[in-house]
Amino acid sequence: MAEKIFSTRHTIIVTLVITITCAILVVATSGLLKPRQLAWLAIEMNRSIVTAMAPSLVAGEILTPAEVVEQFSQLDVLLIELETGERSTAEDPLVYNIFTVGDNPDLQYKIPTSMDIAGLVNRPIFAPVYQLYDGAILQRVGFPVYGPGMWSTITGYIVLERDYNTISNIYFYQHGETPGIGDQIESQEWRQQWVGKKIRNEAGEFKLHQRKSTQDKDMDEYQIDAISGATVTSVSVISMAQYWLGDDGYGLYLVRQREESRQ
Amino acid sequence: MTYTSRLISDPVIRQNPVTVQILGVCSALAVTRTLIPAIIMSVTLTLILVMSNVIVSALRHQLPQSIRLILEMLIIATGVTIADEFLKAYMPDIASTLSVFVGLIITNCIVLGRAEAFAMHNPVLPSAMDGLGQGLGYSLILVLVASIRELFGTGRLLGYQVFQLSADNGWFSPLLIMSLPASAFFIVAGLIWLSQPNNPRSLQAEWKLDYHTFRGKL
Repeated sequence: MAEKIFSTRHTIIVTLVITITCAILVVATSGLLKPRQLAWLAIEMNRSIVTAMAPSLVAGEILTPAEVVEQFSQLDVLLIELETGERSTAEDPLVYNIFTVGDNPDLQYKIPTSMDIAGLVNRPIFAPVYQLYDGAILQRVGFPVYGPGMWSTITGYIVLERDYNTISNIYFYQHGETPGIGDQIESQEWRQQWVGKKIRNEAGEFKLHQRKSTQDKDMDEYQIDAISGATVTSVSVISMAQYWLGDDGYGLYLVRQREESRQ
Repeated sequence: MTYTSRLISDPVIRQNPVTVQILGVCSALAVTRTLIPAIIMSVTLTLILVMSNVIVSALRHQLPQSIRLILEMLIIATGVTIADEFLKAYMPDIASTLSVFVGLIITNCIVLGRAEAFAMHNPVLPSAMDGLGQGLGYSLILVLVASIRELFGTGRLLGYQVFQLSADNGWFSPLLIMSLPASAFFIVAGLIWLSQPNNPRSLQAEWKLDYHTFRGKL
């Protein structure tokens, strides 16, 4: 018996048997558990939109998976084509992931350089919009946004009031900015100053911008302050908001919905 | 004491894998900031130790001499990957806290060390007991270090507030260093120091005897 563990034939057979058994075990487990793992990922992603849409949450409060599923089911999710601002049925909005769709060139649109203020290069053709109704009355609308920060792609949501022009909340899903510096964009203090800011003026001109001087106080309702010490990250977020809420982003849809909401 | 009960009890204190054999220190430093991930890590490692010891022991007459280490690693890696998939599917929060450290169990010296030093020379049952004992020894250290770090770093234990924080009109202000990886070095070093008097070198020599000689002695 001691002899055979030195023989080449035995070595090859045992190695093959063990390798194949191990491979089958790993593939089977991973295949069986994949749906469950993906379900968790979906809940993680839905958690951020649900949290963004419900600003009544106490800061730092974390929803349980059951609450996420329940509150997400109350949202109306539609898909719009950004170029026309029209609703589209080309993709299932519940499955469509705007943050990972960049991997598919067929669903991308090349942004003209002059319009590309946030440095995105490409953006998806379609985007999901999340609506929260209370009975028949629209409460808030959430829009996913993303863009390059200092080190990483920052992803998040901008939530507007039912007038499609007043910012209700900004909330970040994922980012890899410097801990303690760039990640101040997630702080309650900085996010708070976005609340109530207007995107366009009464005449429909795009006005949202970064505050450069403390002098022009009369423009206050359109201005966002950068974070000193975290300028690159916070200015990126402001450019991101300007791009996505502007004419090349959700602009057409926003303008149209704003007109409708006034009637 | 019977041979089997010694297989389990010895590694817990006298032959502790972390403080005496100085194995698996990396994860003992890395996942001990709070108690819950440390407990999950301990349970996972113990299960994998038992599993790898049992399988290696069952195959010990079959494993080809020339590449046995690679095959042992393959068996361990399979067990770890499966455990990692289960954690990701059923405890995603904890899986993300433990991040790469579950995968790194593959390279945890305790697992390969016990497979090679014990399971390759001993029958299945004692190997399982050995895996359990070593796993418990590792768990004891992890739980101790994590309890100290969570209690003094945040005033909490298992997430429950034990010490009233000064921020909430209590008396305790958290020791920031306890939340930093460096504190684990000091605590593990302290535990190693504490466990020295119980471990004359002769004991380590005694443990090297294999199953058959050992059984003859008891």
